[in-house]
Amino acid sequence: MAGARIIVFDAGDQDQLVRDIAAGFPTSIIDDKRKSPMHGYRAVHVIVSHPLPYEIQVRTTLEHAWAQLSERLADHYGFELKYGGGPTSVRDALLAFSDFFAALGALVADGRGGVLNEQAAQNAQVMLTRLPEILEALEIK
Amino acid sequence: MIDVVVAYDRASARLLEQHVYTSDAPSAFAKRLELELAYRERPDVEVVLLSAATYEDLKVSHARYFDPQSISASQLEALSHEVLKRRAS
Repeated sequence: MAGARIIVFDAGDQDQLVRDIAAGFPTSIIDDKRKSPMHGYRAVHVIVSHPLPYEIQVRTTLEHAWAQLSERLADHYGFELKYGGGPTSVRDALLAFSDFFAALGALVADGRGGVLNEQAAQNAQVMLTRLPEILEALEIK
Repeated sequence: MIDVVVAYDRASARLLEQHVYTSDAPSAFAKRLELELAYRERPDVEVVLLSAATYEDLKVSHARYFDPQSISASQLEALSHEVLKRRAS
């Protein structure tokens, strides 16, 4: 399988880049995993046929950091962690951290001129109080 | 352009081999096929051919292969605080 990975700062940059790729490859298929995360994994994947299928992963800095930790934990606890398996405490903590980063991402977008997502801001504040317990579950022992 | 072929052992989170090529994609591709054959009996070993403008770029995009110990929950915590701090300023 061939693919590419592009890491951008925030969702605004991500949206712009995805639009540019889609404009360059009109038959491309956009898989927006921000709307329906795959076991916590968020990103936008663009499948380009040129002529063979080629997957371009477009991630924000926060999405990339989460994905790297998820991969690292999957190395330690088993590949199934990425697909809904593995230790419940680790899986739940990963999902919680994914939601937290999504809320943080919304705050970043707001700071750069986007529309303030009040719910995301509230979620981020609530999640901050839970951060120590989440981090404890995610440390590799 | 730089091409790097890695053999990474998931179970031990260890890079077993890496071969770096500068402007020589055919050799990198041949090495990838050679390593895929060499590690075909070891399902925990990933053989991957990575390409980027610089080696430093690959260390960011695929840190898990090059510096797996650096990826931790505390790294995510630091990033969270950095984002919140940047937004507050």
